[in-house]
Amino acid sequence: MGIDLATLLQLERLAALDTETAPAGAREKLCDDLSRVLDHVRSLTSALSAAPEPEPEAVVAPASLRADEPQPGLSREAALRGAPHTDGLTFVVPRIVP
Amino acid sequence: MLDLCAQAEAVRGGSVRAEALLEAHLERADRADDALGAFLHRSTEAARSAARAVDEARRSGRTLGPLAGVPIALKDALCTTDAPTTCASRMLEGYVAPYDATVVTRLREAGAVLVGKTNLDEFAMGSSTEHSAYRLTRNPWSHEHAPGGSSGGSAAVVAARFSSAALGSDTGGSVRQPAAFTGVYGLKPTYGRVSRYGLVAFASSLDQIGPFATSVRGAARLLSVLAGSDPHDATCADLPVPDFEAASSRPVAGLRIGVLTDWIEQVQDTSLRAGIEASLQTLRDAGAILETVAWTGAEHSIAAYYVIASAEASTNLSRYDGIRFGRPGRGATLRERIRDARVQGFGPEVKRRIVLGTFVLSSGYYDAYYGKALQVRRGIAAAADALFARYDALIGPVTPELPFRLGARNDDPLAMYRSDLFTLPASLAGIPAASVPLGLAPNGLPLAVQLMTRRWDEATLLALSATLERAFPMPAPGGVHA
Repeated sequence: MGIDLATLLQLERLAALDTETAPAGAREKLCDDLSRVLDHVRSLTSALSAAPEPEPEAVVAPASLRADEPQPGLSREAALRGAPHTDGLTFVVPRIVP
Repeated sequence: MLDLCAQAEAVRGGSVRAEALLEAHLERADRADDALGAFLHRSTEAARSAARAVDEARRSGRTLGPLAGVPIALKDALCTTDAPTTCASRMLEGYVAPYDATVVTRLREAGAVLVGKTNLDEFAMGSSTEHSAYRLTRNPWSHEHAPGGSSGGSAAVVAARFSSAALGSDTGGSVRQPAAFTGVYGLKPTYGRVSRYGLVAFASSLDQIGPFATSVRGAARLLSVLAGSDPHDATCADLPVPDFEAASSRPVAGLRIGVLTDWIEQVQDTSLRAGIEASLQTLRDAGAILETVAWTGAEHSIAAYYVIASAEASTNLSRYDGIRFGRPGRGATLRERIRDARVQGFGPEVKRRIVLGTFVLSSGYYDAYYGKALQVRRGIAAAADALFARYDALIGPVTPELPFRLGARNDDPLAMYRSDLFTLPASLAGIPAASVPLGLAPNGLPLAVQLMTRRWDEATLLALSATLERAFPMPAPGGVHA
């Protein structure tokens, strides 16, 4: 099973990558590329005989943990410095709640 | 040409001023980087100020750090407060981080002179550095060939001697492969050896910062500076850091090395295969014991890696919405603005991986793809553990081929992914691995071999690497002067 155009459009919407202005043929190529990758990935199914339990990390090491004490975070100024739209106190976005 | 250790010692001893050492590197970059395309940002004045500070410290009799005066470049995925961090993406055009990465702080504290930020595949996703949104980086050995990726800029900078060393990041081979393509030494530490705080995340369970250097000893010194626990990174191990530089001169007689013969047989280029065979003989001559082995499950690495890495990337890159930082989007609603920022800000390879990652994590497909990939990963790691119960190291190719021509893989993502065939298993297992240069092929392109050791045993990795380095001295590319 590959990725058809309808599935791609759903995925793009989920990832906030949907656009009405994709160049001609771009979505078709993306479907084809992703389908070929998934064809290859399906080999994973045959890779499992005595299947070990999945583990998100390959390495478990003694961790560097700090004391559970509040630490200073970014200053408001530093946090806002890179923001495209700000009123000096907050990030500014279009109204969400009418 | 002096390696970074000899440079640091010369600066400490006063036979070379840090400012003079820096100017020699700056002059080379001034002359040649327009054509090579390795830097995204050059920190020339800040570097001069740092070099002056080193010289002043020496004149004042203050103790100098282990990297004092050494020019070092940084992959532009490492956060710096005094230079932009773009990840080679329009999404982060002009972005300046509010903090330095831990590795950057440690380099500064060691006296290193940071010369600039280097080009990469966008958000570290790629194997050729061709996915950068800003410029093309060429291989210093042949401008028609790729330098590898994603850390191609860092590899090229070191190969061209624009800096004495550089940092890259390796998620699926992005230090080792460009090191092999450019004829420099590149090392991926054990996952957890080096703090990832301040490395812009691609795949958090795989990303690891590693050094490029012109010598094994230089990489060892760099690793000693970078490694060690960091309370900012809970995945960074709280383990003592060995003296890697001392370890790099240890003898290797008696070490048992598993030869991944089935990998070597897949190498397409006869000169690359011959170079690898010659490296095996060098290790035998040094007293190591070599036996053929097979790494069970490694053949599924591409599938497992691209599911896991894409899944993690789709999550990590969801933070880029153009609201708190980064490229702003246009639109009447919040959703339109976020969508516009991401559509305009990300390049095609990044979008491809985000969509793939979204798919494999979605309801109905999670177990079939992501769950299975994690199981396969666990199996690959267990197979590595079984090998290292009998062997001290593994050896095999870094890549199936010599550096490919620029543009040769751009229309076929799967072909590009397949070039990571031999680097992915070590990434999935979290073990340390290095690319060691082996001289040049008859066509003038670099040859290399990959060494891997058990977790936390970078010391043996460096010792074996140094043994090969002595047998296969590597020149600098033509046009680079001492």
